Amino acid sequence: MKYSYSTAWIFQKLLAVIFLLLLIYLIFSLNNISLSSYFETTNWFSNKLNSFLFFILFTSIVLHSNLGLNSIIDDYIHKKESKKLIIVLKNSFLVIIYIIATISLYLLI
Amino acid sequence: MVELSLPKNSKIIQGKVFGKKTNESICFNIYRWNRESGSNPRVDKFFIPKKKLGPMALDALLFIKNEIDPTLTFRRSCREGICGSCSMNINGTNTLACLKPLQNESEINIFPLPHMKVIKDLVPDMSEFYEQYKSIKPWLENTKKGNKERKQSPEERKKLDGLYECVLCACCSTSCPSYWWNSDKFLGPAILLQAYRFIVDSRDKNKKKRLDFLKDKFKLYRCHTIMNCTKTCPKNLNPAKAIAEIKKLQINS
Repeated sequence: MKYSYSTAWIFQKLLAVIFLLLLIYLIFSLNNISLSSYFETTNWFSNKLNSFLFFILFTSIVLHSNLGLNSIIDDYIHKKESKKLIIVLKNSFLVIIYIIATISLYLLI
Repeated sequence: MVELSLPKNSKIIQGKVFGKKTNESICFNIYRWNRESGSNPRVDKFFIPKKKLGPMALDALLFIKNEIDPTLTFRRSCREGICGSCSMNINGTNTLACLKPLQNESEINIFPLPHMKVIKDLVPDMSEFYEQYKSIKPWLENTKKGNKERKQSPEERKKLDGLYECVLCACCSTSCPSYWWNSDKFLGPAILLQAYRFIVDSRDKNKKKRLDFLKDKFKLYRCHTIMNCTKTCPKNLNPAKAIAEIKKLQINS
């Protein structure tokens, strides 16, 4: 399968399934701890399985958001210059939050 | 960029009133615009006694044109949902006026198909729509030459059910928000349903070329499965399903 928009389309659907399943896991898993307690929350993240699954969840959400936002930009922004600028801003935003989240997660383990 | 408000000269003003309101009358609010007059579009009110009307919305339009205002302009031909000419927006839904029964409404709003350039009153400019139709090569292509007929099995023929019935009225395309924003690049549900009709036809041998033509993020993938097309189709077809089938075929091609 060559890379084309159909690849992006199926990739977006797969990511949606992945993060939906992981989100369900996260809800059930976090239900057992008190999120108002800093100690309990950091303790939950120090579990390697939890932090690994959270990392996969966050990665899939960022990738899914990237594809979804690209689609919205294609839908509504028609001027080439505005489109380029908005894509740069969007990419920068996603990269920054991804780096911050990854470092934070690493520090919690 | 998307424009969220209408330009000044497109704002709809109140129009003329014909007839008087009674308990036995239906009020038809009809969009009117004549580019030659240079004025803004208006909505005329026609109060018509129920007993003078036929069963369908098209009958009411014909009554108005014949008896009240001969300048009212709209397309119509077959009066039985086959030609697809009388497509318009009636009470907020795109449909064929000849298939839309008049029920117990006291007020009926009739507008041209949304997001289309208007030529006059209820007549939209369909040129772009027909250009898009032409782009998918809506004819069977087969490299084999010969005088013999090309037979289809009943199963192969069955694949065309729900597709060949499309009358190209554009009700589905003009109900699709993706088509509203990108009508110059997105082919829209009607054309994609037609494209699928030729892709699955066993007598056509250009399936790959047809799929390659659609492999584009604007032509096909502006469809976000909103389903307005299927909801509005006056022939009860399912363009959204046809588009989904094309997307599935794209993955394997």
